[in-house]
Amino acid sequence: MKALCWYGTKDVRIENVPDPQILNPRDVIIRTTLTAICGSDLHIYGGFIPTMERGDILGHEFMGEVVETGHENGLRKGDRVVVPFAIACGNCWFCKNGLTSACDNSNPNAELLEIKDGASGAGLFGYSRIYGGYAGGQAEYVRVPFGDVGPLKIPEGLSDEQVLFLSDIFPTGYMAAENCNIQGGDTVAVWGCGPVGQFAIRSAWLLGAGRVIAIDKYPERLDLARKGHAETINYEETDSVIGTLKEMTGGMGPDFCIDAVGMEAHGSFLAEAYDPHQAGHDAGNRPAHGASRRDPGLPQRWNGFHSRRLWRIH
Amino acid sequence: MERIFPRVDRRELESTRWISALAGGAMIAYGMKRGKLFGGLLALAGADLATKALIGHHLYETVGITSVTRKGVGASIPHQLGIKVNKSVTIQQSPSTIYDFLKRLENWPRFMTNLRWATQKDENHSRWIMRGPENAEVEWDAEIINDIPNEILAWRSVNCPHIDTAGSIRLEPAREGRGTVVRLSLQYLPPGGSWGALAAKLFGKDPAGEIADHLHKLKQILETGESATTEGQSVGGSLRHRSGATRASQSEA
Repeated sequence: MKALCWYGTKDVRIENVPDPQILNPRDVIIRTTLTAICGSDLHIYGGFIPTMERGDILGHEFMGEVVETGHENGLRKGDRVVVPFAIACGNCWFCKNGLTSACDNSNPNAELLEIKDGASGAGLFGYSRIYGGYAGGQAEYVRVPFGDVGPLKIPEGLSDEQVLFLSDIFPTGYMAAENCNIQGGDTVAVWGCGPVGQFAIRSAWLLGAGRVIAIDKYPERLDLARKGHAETINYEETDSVIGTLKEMTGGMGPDFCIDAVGMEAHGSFLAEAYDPHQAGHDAGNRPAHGASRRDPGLPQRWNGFHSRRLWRIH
Repeated sequence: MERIFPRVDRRELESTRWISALAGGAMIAYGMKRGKLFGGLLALAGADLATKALIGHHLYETVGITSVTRKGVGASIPHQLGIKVNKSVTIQQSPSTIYDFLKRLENWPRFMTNLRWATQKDENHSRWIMRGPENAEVEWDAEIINDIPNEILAWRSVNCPHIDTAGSIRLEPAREGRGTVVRLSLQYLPPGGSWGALAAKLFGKDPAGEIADHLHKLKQILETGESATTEGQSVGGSLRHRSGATRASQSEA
């Protein structure tokens, strides 16, 4: 099969590699029908993620059709599924309590991640040895461990394009908005209108926001934010984003701020917003994250892992 | 020949330690006065005697190196020597499920990756064949010294001059809904003492890390029925290509 393999900083190649095999009873093999490039793939491409090895297959946002199953499985050949990027066993204490990204059992190299971070989380697809070393989804076929737990079966009538983003990026934006604990009518400001920001805008509406204000400098991104019914600020056209926000909100300022600016972008703007406002929720400056507790269909809780097991505050 | 653990107290008798103290002190003083290589060595030898006077053991023994005795290398693990590993893990299973799993020796190689096989000899004795360094096989017998169903399993090594180990697994019910806390305690004399253990750690063969890995695998098997792995998965690079038909060519055939 063809797969995208990592060979070094800014050196990735499409290669012919052996097809994946069933290695454990709960594995399934998926024929990829659609896959995406994540902002987190840029961390690997840019050489920021340690313990990558030459030839590792990249990709953790993918979906497809089940073509082979292990002995014990809830999935069948022909099922269309979208696969969450964090691998969860479904049996450990964390999985049983909805904290699937902190899964105790899915990372075969948990001891390595413990050395780096103090505790290990779930294994991830295509994201270096310390996160499990699993071959990723930017390939024609993918082995999905614990296929009975993570993959979401796609109901009839939904296209691939409609559900692909459930693999990572929609839950990432959703969780940023969820962390705001929006009460009816709150004003939410979103810094950065890339994919995570766009999903944070739409999630804020889903969770009951009264106003959403989006901040960026690229006109096409601001257009997309307006299509999502957000008001927009082009920060290059204003002296002070904070001043503009205050004017727009009658001196109050927004109730919540979401930082959705990528690590490789131009630094974080949220620092200037931390002090005068109630809360800030960083959605974009860590390698990977996202997901939701309210919707059981979004079974990744990467930020949950960061706060639960690494004792970090977002 | 069966040896008992803990074994003979090999510390120097308290009544004769003053001789070591005097001699050691004199050697340190003379060695430091003389200086150079010989003086330094003399002072070191003096320090060894002084340590013996203080705690009853040679200086080199305090870092875990044992002398060859008439009972063979490392004939005992005095309580202050050797390496002790305590490691615990919480498993989402009842104590009885875990105890029953551990009592079936054929389960052990599934999580103890350096174990070739283990077999029961009689009620309290079993034979273990481990993969040692350089793929050499090491055989030893274990004797159960404490066995309380669903609570504790403790053993020690017998009948092997190269393996000196004792350990226990304790099972305690965790708080409501959290399964069982499995506490492993293992004491052993590594080749070369703690310096040897340090060297092994530097070269990536840290026994304590290996034990943690085995416990993690035990937890994976007991909770999920399988042990997470990536061995044999697809990877790029011609050097690591495995031969095998592709899915497309299989369907053509």
